[in-house]
Amino acid sequence: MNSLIHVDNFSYWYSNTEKPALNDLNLKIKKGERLLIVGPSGCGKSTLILCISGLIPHSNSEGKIKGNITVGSENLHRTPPYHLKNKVGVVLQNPSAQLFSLKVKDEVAFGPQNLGLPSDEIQERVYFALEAVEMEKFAEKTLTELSMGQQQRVCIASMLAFRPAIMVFDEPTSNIDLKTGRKILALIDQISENQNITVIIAEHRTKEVSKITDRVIVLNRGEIVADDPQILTDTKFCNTYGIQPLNTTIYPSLQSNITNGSKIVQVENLSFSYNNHSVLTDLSFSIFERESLGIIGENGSGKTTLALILAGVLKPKQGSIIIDGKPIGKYKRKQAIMKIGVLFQNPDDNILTTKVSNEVLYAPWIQRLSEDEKKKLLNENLDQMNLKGYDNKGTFKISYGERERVAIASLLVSQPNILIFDEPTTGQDYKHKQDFIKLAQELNETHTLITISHDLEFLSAISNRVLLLDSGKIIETHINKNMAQNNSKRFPKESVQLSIMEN
Amino acid sequence: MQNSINFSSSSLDPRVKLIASMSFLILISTIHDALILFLSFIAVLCAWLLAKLPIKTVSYFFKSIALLFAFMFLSSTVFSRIAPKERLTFIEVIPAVIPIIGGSGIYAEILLASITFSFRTLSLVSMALLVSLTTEPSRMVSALRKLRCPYELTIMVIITIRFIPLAIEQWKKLAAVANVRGIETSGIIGRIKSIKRLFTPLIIHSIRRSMQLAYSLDARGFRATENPTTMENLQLGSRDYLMLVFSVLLVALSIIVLLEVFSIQNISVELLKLVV
Repeated sequence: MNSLIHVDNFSYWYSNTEKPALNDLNLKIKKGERLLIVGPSGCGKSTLILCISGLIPHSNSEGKIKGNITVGSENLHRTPPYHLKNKVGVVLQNPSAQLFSLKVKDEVAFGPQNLGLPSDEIQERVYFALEAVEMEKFAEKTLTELSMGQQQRVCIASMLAFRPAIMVFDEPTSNIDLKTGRKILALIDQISENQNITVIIAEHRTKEVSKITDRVIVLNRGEIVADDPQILTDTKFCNTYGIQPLNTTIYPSLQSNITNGSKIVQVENLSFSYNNHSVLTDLSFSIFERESLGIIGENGSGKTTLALILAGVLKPKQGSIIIDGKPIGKYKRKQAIMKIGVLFQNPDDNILTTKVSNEVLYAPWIQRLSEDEKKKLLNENLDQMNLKGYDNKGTFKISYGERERVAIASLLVSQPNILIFDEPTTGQDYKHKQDFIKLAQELNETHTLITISHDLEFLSAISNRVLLLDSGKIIETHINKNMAQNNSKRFPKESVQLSIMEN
Repeated sequence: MQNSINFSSSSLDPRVKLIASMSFLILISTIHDALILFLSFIAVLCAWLLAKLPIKTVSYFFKSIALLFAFMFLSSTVFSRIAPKERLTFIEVIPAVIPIIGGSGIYAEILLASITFSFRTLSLVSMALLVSLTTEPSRMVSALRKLRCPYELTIMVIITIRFIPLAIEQWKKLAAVANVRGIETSGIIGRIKSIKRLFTPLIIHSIRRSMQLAYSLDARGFRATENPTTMENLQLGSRDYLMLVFSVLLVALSIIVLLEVFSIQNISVELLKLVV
């Protein structure tokens, strides 16, 4: 009985499913160990996180459980995680969806309050937890004022206030750029070291996370297929399971290399400010027809704003944007969507209806096309996106990647010649990135593509030219991977430098 | 708005604030005289002055309050009816000969009634606003807990307040998505139409969000014990006791008014009759 967590012949079925999400798992985790769980999307990582953290069955008791999970000598299925001797703290995906208080200190105090601790001890724990995540200066701040990275820190602090023996993380660095992600991982490393906390992390960013973990397990279809810290160096194995290997990442590279021809987008002296706060300053660039342009920058560098302006959703304060020979402002909404389509970050946010066919036919429905036309458009576009037979499925019941393709199909029905992808792969696994690049390749044969990301490696694979945006200004209009590697010092922003040097 | 407010640590205990505003509410509900209600509103204004809130906040809220007052006053003046015998007609807006909607006009009594009604609501709203603006949310939660308000209810209130900015953010995202699918969301007509189109997706997204929130609440031991505690340790000071005594006086005064020990309900009407 050296190990702290025992998973014994554990299986789990979600309600109304035949196939188990976790199938007969056996896992022993020692005290102080740092475990990384990897695997393709849908492999059961998140389910395992929910089970080890006790949220299944204590919060979600709808599914079926077989087998046992014990923490120390207590059965996790009988004792809730916060009543265990060795408490389990969990930080789930998407920090902003987990926070519910108005102020930072209230958020952190919520747990100890629920445990019924006296007020001076609560105050002591709040201070301790905020200090551990280096957020003690923010105690009085409102949560909506904080950046993504800071919100993630508050999530961690609110768990530390429980004084847990085990901390479980579900994708702690998804949705944030490399620099911030690294700081969060360094913080987890430090906390684990200082308070002797056992850490379990489920992640796609293997390169980053494996630096702070000492054990790696690979999950596939609810089963452990490998338990070996060296497995990530096995490129062949990793490619089989769609995991990002440590040494080399092979992305299919884009064929087209168009750097001249007719200009489909021309931006001149574009400036934009929001609430007297300058977001974009004096941007000028043009995009050639059927080019694939990448735009790189950190969180908050104005990338998404640029996408919204290009699509005519936001009106710029200054400057002109000519799309296909006409200023974007001159297009009516219905005409603009035939020129330019935008896929927003996180496919969930791109969904307006609950049925795939309704979603894809949203724009034709607005334009009141006839039933025959709509049917034709639906079939054509579902075919193109490899979604044949998905018409009647629920938009929220399909996988993340499928939902993304539904969202793209719903743009393609209006036949735009330009497509903008805003962070299409954040928080997604290696395989999804590879698939997305393949999809982009196909689309690039007929469309001009603009891809926004903070991942240079991905961008240099998907685009023939990369534009670097920093605090609303264009720093470079033409970087590619090889050039970047030789001149990494020229790039002022740390995160771009980092992502260049890493690859 | 809330960010600009500095909560003063020397402010009254939130429980006392709640009790005091409750007794104020009782008092002004028993009074039906325009003049006295106007004076009570002035009293609330004095309290606003004493609170020393930032000018920006004060002007923002008073613009909204003024709008509310104008709307209530106008609507209750124009649309109230009064028996023909009793009225002192100023202007007849719609003559009584027109059936059903006829007989609307501005009458002295109705004017008085509207002033009474508007100032009562105004005093209440500005009092409630003042209490919420000068009390830190966590202290308010502690106060509600100490006053035996169910824990689940207080958490629900907090989550609702917190949810509003998130819903607005989600709405903006959905509006942008609708925009790139060909829906005009700017302009008055565009906005009204987009409300119809985006309401359902907003609900769907909110439900999905609430499921994530449920996990988060459970992970933090929501309802782990029967008696959750609070971070703030509330203790009554001498000023709090003074305020409590004052509240008791207010309630006593309302009882006197209700029992009609002396007549204050008709001061304004009598004054008006003197003038006319």
